[in-house]
Amino acid sequence: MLRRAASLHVPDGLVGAYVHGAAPTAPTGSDGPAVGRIAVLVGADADPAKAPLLRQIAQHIAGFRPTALDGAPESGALLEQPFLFNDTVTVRAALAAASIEGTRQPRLLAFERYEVGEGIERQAIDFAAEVNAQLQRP
Amino acid sequence: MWLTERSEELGRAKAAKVEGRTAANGAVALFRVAPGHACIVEVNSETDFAAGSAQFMALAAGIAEAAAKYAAAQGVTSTVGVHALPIEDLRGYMGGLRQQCQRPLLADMRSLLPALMRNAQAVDASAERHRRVGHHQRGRPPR
Repeated sequence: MLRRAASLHVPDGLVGAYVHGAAPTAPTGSDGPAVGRIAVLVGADADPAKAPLLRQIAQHIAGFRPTALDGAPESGALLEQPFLFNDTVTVRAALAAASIEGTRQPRLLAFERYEVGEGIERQAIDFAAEVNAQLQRP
Repeated sequence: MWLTERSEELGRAKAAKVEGRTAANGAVALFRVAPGHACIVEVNSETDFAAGSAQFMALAAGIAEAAAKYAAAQGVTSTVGVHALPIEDLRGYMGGLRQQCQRPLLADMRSLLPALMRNAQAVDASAERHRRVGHHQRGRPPR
């Protein structure tokens, strides 16, 4: 059942993508499809050379579940989180450091993170209670 | 065409039967079209067992690709940012894609029919000959 779908476009920039929890048989090509349990897209105004950094940021988003792009550190803003691949700096600082080497300063624009089943209410199954109920039946 | 309609009807009946069940497992699929364009979808199943099958993953990947085509058809690819794609519209779009794939196939089959019929008649005739030959061989030798 198709539950949700989103697309991310930065025509003159880059979209970093990462899929976590891909099964060995799942397609995982850098172009085309990839299937797993967590999928992240992150769009940036950046040069093509920054693709590896964007992929790292997508991996960071998969692991750290930021709630917003920018804002107060305690609100779970991506730019203020310690970077997954170098936790002595924030994501913002990692982007700034990358801009020194390149020609264009990479600027994050948006991200989207999908995890299988998030937000779906599951019926809680208490197996012990079910067994007890069965035993107490005459 | 009645075959298509009938199978769709049966599919809808099956879907209605399992509508109340919670599908909280499944897979997410990603499809990259270009360096600056990509699409993600979540496709649910009732069990993680089903979600782990190769068919399910291929289905999820196919839906992600269709969603990318849908986004392009809607013209949202020129606007920077995340676009949540309307699920009902996307489903309708995928139904259209499927019909486009089916129509040429059905037309091909219809054009093949006369040839198939001729083949079937030829096979029938040849079987009849063999039967007669067999009869002669088994029969009493001519006096």
